[in-house]
Amino acid sequence: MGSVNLEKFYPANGTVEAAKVNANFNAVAGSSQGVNDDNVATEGLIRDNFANANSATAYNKGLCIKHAAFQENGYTLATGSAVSANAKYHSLTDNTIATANKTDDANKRQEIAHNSSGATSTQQGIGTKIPVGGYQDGSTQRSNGIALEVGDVIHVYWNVTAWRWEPQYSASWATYVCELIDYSSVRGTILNYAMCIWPEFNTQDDLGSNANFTSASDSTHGFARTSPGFANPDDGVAPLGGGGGVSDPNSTGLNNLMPFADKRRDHWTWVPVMMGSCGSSNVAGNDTVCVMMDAENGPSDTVIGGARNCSGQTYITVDTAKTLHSIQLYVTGLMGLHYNTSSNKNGTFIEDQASTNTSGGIDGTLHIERASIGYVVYRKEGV
Amino acid sequence: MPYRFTKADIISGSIVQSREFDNAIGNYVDVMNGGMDRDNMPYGGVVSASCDGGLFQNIAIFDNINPIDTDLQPDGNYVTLTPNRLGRLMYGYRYGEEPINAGDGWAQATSKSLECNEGMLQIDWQCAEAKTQYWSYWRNFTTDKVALKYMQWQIRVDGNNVYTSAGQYEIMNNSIHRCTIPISKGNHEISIHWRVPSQRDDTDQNQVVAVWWGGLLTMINKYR
Repeated sequence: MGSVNLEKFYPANGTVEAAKVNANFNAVAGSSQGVNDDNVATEGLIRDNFANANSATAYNKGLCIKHAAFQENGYTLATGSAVSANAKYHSLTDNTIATANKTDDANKRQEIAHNSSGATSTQQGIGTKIPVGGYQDGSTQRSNGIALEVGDVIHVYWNVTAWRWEPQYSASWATYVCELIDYSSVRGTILNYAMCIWPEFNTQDDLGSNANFTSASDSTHGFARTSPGFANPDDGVAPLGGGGGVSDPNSTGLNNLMPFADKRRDHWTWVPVMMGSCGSSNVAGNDTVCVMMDAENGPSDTVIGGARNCSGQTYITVDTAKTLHSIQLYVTGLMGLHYNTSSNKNGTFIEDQASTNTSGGIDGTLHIERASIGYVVYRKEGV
Repeated sequence: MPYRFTKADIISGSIVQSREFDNAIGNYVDVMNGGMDRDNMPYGGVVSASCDGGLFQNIAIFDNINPIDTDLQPDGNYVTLTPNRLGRLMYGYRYGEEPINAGDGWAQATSKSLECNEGMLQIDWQCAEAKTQYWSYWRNFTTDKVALKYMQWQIRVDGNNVYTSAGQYEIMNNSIHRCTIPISKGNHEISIHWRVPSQRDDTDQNQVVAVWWGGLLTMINKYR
């Protein structure tokens, strides 16, 4: 309502016209609505004066947070156990493919969807598919969803327990050593690859169909479209070795990488899988490769250690109003680092198209035990 | 609104002095003009639509923070300029050069300023990082020297250290660091720093020690 200004009679203290008295009363009466900053004392209100001051439900967190929830898949194993087949997530390269092209495109983007018994589930609330806003009343399938407003901020965080990296093709480490470490020449390289895990978002249906999950910066269904957007596995696919032929990564293949500076990658969790060495002398067999984790068989000369907890998080500002129904984790790989000397940009690529066994290519599966995901939606207004 | 004594009781039928109107009405107007407080407003009565944005908090997000690409140098130990077809060029920071030099010193990754209100400030820094671990990698045919490398991160507010991480030893990993501190009203500079261990006398300067990418700095100022 703003300040109320009255005509003051004091100090004249004489006879006052009725119209002036009425004007003062009307000024007060007319200001009975629309209280604003001018009317409220500095720091005069307390939290209880505001709507959403207290948690209305277990998920509604009050003034600053619109909604928050957490979910874990409940898949827990004893050390020494093997994960189920559905908890194994394969690299993009698959040397069991009979054709020259050893790429399985389906492996480029895989839902982390195993449930508490290690079986695949597409249901919300199971695996890493979390229903945003909780379930609708009376339903164990449909999510409430949350109406995102422009300016809201979503904090998504997750954790996966990398149980084991299992090289899929090779019965011998030599396959990887000869191609990636190469004790016989100066073609040494660094064997550090990672599987990457990231969240995708469903703004399309309250049942959370896998077909409806996209990047937060997706041009049609996303809610954070402002450039530079979020990188996905399609950014930086590079045919290693050009289908089996010898190629120079400076001029082919790897230069297709996506520079880090071009898109956001803070939403990726890097799960390291292998390390290697060409050895201290040019002697066959002096080279070694080891995997980063194997909780099934335990540490050894070729295994660094047991299970690894790999976490990630991202903060996303909503720039397009959408109803967010669910969030799910995905995995891809293998991702490597490379520096493009032509463009002078550092970046990453996804390994692709190893054509024959002898041409190498890292083919393996990431075994994931437990996985969890949570989110916090901060209110844009702060109330 | 504190209790206020009634200063005027206008009696019906009497002649009223005009200043008594001032006293009677002014008593209420004083409250309306900036004197309303928790007792005047109903609990739960102020809804979102009635409030300015950012009434209780301000969230600042700085994304896509990366090293300057041209500052990175190649690893000469394992990667030649024409590596094998499955090889690639590992670039990063090396000993003997800025910003690492001899190691153990803090290099600045990024610095941002934020206009704060009195309250608490949550600072979230995350990035991906890679280290070439010589305890597993050996330089081609020439040495079996090993050196365990790590990265540490530090958060500073106006130059004061408010958070220092433990060493991160993985070959590739996400590095997530968070702290919450009391903050005063005004403009504050939040900077992120990193370091690697000291150079050993047998550490090869051709080695890329570490590189990071994909930084995200998020600051949440929750008002008092």
